[in-house]
Amino acid sequence: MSDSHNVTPEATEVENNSTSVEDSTTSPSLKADTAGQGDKPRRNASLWMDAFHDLRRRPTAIISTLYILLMVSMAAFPWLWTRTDPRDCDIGEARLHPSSEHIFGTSVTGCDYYAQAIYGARPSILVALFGTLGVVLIGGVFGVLAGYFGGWIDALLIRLSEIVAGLPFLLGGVAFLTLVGTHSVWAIASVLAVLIWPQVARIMRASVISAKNMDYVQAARSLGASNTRIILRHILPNAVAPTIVVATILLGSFVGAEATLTFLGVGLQPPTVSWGVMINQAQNFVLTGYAYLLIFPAGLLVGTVLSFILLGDAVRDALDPKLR
Amino acid sequence: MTVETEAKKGAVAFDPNAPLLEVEDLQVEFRTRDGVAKAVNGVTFSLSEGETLAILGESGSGKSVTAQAIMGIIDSPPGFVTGGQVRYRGVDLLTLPEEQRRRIRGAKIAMIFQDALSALNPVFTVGFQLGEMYRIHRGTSRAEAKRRAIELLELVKIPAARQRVNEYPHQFSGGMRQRVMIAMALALDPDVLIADEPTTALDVTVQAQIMGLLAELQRERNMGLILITHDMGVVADVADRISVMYAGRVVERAPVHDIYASPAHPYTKALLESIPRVDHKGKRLNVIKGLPPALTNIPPGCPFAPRCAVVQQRCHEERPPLYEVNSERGSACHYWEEVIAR
Amino acid sequence: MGRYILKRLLQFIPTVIGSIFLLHYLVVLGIQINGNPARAMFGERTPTPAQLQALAEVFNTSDPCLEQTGNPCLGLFWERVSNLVQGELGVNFQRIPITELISHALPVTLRLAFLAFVLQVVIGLSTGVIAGLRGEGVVDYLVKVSTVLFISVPVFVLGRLVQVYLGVEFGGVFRDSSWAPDWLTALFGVRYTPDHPWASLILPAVVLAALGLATTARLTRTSLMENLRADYVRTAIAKGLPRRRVIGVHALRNSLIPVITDLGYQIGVLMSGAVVTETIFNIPGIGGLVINGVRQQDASVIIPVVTFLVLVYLVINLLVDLLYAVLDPRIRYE
Repeated sequence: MSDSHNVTPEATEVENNSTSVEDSTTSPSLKADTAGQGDKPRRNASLWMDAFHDLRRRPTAIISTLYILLMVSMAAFPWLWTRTDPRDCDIGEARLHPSSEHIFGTSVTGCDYYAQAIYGARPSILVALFGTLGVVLIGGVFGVLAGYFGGWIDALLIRLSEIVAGLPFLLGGVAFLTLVGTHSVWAIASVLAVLIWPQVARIMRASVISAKNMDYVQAARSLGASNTRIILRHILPNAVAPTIVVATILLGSFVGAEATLTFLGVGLQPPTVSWGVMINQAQNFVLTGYAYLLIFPAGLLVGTVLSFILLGDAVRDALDPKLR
Repeated sequence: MTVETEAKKGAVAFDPNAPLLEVEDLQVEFRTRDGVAKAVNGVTFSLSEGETLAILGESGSGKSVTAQAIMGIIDSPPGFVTGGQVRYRGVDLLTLPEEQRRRIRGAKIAMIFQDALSALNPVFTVGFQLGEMYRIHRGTSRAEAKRRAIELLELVKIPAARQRVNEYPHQFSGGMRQRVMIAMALALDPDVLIADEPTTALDVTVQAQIMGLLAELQRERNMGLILITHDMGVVADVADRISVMYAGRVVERAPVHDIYASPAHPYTKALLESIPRVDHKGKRLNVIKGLPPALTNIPPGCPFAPRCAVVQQRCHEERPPLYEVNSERGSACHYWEEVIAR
Repeated sequence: MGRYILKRLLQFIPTVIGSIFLLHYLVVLGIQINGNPARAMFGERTPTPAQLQALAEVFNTSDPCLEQTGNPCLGLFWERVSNLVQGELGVNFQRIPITELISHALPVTLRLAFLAFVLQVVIGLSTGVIAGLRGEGVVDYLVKVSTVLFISVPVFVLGRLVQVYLGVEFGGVFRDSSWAPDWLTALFGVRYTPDHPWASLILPAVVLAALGLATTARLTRTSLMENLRADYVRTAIAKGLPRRRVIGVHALRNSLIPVITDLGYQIGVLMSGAVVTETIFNIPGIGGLVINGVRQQDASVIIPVVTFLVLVYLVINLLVDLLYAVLDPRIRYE
């Protein structure tokens, strides 16, 4: 990975808040009783409920969720936010600083910058959404197969993911997108999916391996349940949490990735309006006193990336019972 | 990093005629988010040369914390020694400045930990970690330190010491690692050795070897040994005296044979009855019902009362002191006379 | 150790071939999806014969497999690999050998990456150690906040902001003054100036290092905190070692293993992150080559240069893996 938008090594950080008092109340013999096999589905449901209750008490989680909902509503229903057409431009009114008439000012080509910022949400968020879906799909399937079946399938998929990880996404993206010629949402999302899936595959594989060795899975297997059934009913529900965390963070990273690729000239192109395109068009004027052209779209974009990353962090903390 | 020579600096005035080690009314608490956990509540005992004192208790009884308080290695925060004295040769270690205390650690009082794999630094050779004792405390040269490290490995009967001195902890087997741990503790010929569950992590056969080695080295060097364990079986063979701890208190202290013959506290009695014995074959094994109290909220009265088989109303209201059974024994039970008689 | 090196080397070869193949396949697929590469790349404009010639040399456009979507074009791949092995990277539209372009650009990028790396090590490590030792406090908080912030702000946005506020606004003070020495003007300049090959790279290096710096600090902090709680640190204290030896030798030596490993990987990240930074500050380095290729639609530059960068990245990763074994005996003797 060569780009800034990356899942940090901190993804696995566990902050140990426990003190060094010896287990003050529990004896091992009693612990074993509470982790029986019969109550597995209920325990799973309560894990998510606990996580949800925990999240509601975290201010960062609430604020980022609200921010994300705002941005998603811009992407889905831009007309809720503005009645101005972002492509209704008057070149005579180019680069007007923010005023009461144009609260974000006007763009390089004289469009209302606020309307552009609203309509710019959709392509940015779509790229992130499709990219993440692709990553989760490819990485999830490969991770489950590798983790569940092990052996040569595992070895092969590990090697494959190492090969893909050996190609920094920025460089691979530039090479592919230059040649494809089409600079569509789909092209960018697929490049992201093809180059980033090892991150999810690795995590999925690890969680599947640990879930596979649980007693109730061994029990189901000895009762003759089919592989498909074991994977769908027993392993996936228990292995999916870490993937959700990574996917949330990836959503944010991909919003930034779209902008970076666009900045390098291989991403979305005008007349499409995305935050990346807006920032890219602002480039040449930023140094000559039109910093607002950069600040507005970049602010929305950074807020979105930040919100997804913080939400992902919060979900991880909430799902990790060790922290509670 | 400069290696300073400890001998050159001013030393503490120890009284060679004073008792080797006395712990008096030791109090340790951990201040956590969930409240203050009183891990050690007034522990008192003493240790003399060549003697083995076993401190017995289940996890959470405060036995390891007591050992750490003697060594002065409690994580602070959250841990704080809030009262009492730890006197080595008449000098209270708890009031010594950190620098002087540090020089006692390892040199006069040394400690062996339970899990040698995690207690040894994985990235340094065994020789480096042994030699460090001489280099830091005595200012020995590297070459000399290594020679001494080899001697130490031979002392604890590790074969091919000359080669193994250059190996890393993970290359040793569990038993061999614990021998390295013992060698490290013995490097500077300490007067007091604290062994915190030294054999818990080992196979049963290896356990016996390690305990044998410890006992042998202790005899040779006339050290005082504090053996911390939850295993009554280990205790019987090697200990001279036993202090049984429960919820941060000593609930019974006695010479080892007296305790096995006639426990004077219901907790000790229950512990003894929970050991599987050949002559009780076919009978149901007794277990102690319930859990020890949360250290953040120790009830008034006797802390063992909720689990006690002979509990009376008084036990819930009045905390028993450590009654003197005879000059060598004590029991923190209001009804010790009845317990001992049964 | 010998076995470990051998194992790693044996794994390295298929990874390199695989990564180069993946890149090759992306390129081929791009051409196949888009039809005739010449038309794709030139759009409405008419390519000159020289351009077509260069393209043909890079892509072997006459090869029919380029018209079959999905065909991996193994023949072309084989050709590319054997060219690579001979150090043959082709020529650009102006018929300048790519190797020559790289040899001019590489020193600039290496300087930039070196400066960024030094910043990352010095600032990242020291703040990380301070945060790790002091525990929760101002430094710790700053490290946490800045990590999240730097991850969230795309490098090019950060770069532009630095350029506007430190380069244009703050640097303007020196440019307008009569007293400021040249190097100071260059230091707070807007773009790279060949007359000051080091000073004018410092701001870009700060931008390039920003993300990695925060990550390094955070990793150092976490790793140190973890190790300070480790059993062997307690043993070191119980041995009566002085505090600075307990921390400086026992805890730090272990804490730095993941940090140094990560720093190693970061060199590769810096090399490719330079694409963005060099674009912002107009630096004629390797990244500048790539981006000029994009602007001129000159794939005959992009593909070999990207291939070169990927190779550098993979070789650095290999070296880091070997370094890891040197640092951690548990790996060495597995």
